[in-house]
Amino acid sequence: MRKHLLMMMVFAFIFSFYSGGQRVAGAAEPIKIGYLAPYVGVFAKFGNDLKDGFKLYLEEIGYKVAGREIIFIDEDTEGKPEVGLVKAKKLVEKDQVHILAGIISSAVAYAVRDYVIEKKIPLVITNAGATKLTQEQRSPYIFRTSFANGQQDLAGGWYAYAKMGVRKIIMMGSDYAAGHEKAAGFMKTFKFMGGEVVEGIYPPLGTNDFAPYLAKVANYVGKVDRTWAFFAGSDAIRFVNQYDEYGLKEKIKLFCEEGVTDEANLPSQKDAVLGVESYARYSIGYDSVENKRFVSEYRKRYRYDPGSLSEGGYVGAKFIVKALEAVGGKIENQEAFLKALRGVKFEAPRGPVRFDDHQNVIFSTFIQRVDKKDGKYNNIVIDKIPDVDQYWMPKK
Amino acid sequence: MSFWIIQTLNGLSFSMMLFLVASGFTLIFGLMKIINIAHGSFYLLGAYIGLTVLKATGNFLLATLASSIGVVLVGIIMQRFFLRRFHMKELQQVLLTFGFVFIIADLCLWIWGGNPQALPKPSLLKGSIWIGSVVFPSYRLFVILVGILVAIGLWIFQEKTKFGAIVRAGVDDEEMLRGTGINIQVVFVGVFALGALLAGIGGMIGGPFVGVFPGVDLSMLLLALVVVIIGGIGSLKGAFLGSLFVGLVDNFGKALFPELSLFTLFAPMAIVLAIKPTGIFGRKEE
Repeated sequence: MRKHLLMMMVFAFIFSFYSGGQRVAGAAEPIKIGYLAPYVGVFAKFGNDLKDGFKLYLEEIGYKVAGREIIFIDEDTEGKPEVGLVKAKKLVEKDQVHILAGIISSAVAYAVRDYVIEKKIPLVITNAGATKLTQEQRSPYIFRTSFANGQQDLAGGWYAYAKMGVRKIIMMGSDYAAGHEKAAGFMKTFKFMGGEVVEGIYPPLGTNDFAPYLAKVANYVGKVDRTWAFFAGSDAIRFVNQYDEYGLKEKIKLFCEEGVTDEANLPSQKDAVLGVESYARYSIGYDSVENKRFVSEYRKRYRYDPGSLSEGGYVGAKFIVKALEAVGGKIENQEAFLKALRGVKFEAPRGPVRFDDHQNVIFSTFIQRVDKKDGKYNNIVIDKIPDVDQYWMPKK
Repeated sequence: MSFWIIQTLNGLSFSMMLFLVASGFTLIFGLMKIINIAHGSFYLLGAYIGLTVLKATGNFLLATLASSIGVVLVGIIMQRFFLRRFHMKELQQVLLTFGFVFIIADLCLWIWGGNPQALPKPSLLKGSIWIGSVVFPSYRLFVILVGILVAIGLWIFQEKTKFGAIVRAGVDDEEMLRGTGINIQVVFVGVFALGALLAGIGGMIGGPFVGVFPGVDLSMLLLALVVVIIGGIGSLKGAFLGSLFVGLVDNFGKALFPELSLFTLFAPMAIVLAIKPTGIFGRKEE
């Protein structure tokens, strides 16, 4: 009996070897894309949006480019740098992926940076905004299709001064790297134009109650023109609801970073967010053929509204696939692939996108306002600032 | 002046919500010596169940009722089928409740998704109230009121009812209590369910201003721990005063020194631990 078993195992082994070999000889080997995003805890929603967007594009092209199949391999970083690095190693060494993509957290992006450069694996960041990754610590292997922290904020700061007539402002943001980098971007152009920042308040991430900070803002009623705010996820919901609760919404209007009025938050913010203005790299209300198609496809496939992360994932996938198309699917010729990727240009849901010299994406920045239509809350576009890159500066 | 009134009321409203969560935690510990790491999960469950019913019916009372029943059931199952096996085995209990944290958090993520949400306020309490020259959201006054009512209710329960007397006796000397012929297991289940209920109501009441999202379970647990460590673990009076202390200190700390927000929360705890390691109302172990 034991002998039989052994024989069977040997056969099975030989057989699998044989058929495996045949596949290589038959069609071209598949292209493997490794994807890193968090799917548990606080970041679960962001991770899923990012993945849903990415997969939507792969589905549109039927997981095939230039005759080669695309295999999408997904790993959970849990939003932790040490886990992210282990998962990146697993994807590269065990799964032998050709490209890495994804990444929400800047800390995770920093953790895998040196590793992908050492292994010469192209990394397409579809969210993490830490500025250094495409500035001081840039690498030919690292691309970013989302934004650098502070990028759209540069346009926002200018717009507040030049178009909205804001002269004095209060800055309120989450007390972590992205919060400060975004605030710095906004203040850079706002102050450059001649605006004055009268107060900066930075509550910790996950602040349960904004009431104590808001009492401080209330002291400035009549003395400032606007409050700038950047909060994400549950912080954003609490912030907007409490800002309204304390009667500040009409007295000192908000001008926010897009995270505050993300489509995912609106159903929980309701009337508290109605009429709130923000600047954004992507707006669901952008009136273009491509965006309308994207929004309707996305809703049909996933039954919820795409936010900027969904669009970020979608655009990231399209950048990769367009580059693969340009080199006829020959990912093995890495130099040609990287060159092609650098040159990719297309009309994304957020408008025309391309890379700058440091491989960070250039896009238009939208000015949007939350509107209510048929009982449903959505952002509508009120203005657009074209071609904003990570070093963008206005003319005085 | 208005600054101090508003900040005091803010602090009180946050205190009362903390009290709802911390009182349940301290009740359970006082009687059964269980450090229930999954206590914040009752908050999470209570808020999510409430949210679902609220969306379906729009009735805040009905939602509170449904979420109460939900968390009480989960509490009973946890105590009756799991924790009972590990009576007085602290390490096993901590590990077990820790496991429940993950299970409940993942189930909630699976059922309700990771999208952060806020419970809508009952329509009666949507507006604001003028107190002299200051505006204050009426919902927060309601929270203060609920907290005080629950505190009085718990006090009457503990001091004036027979079941309360049994619980107090159980806290003092569990073996003697068994000796008098009282079925201690029923008392255990009852108190565990009550603790869960309080945290669940905390989720319902806190839902409209703290919100409900993955991760709120652990942040609530952390706050409850700070409260009971300051107040003295196992003591209801301690939980009440600890909540007041934490809520007010945290609030004024944030308002006056916004850069030091986490410091103002944990520094008082460290000081209390240094001076009186059992907490303000804690009793020494014999």
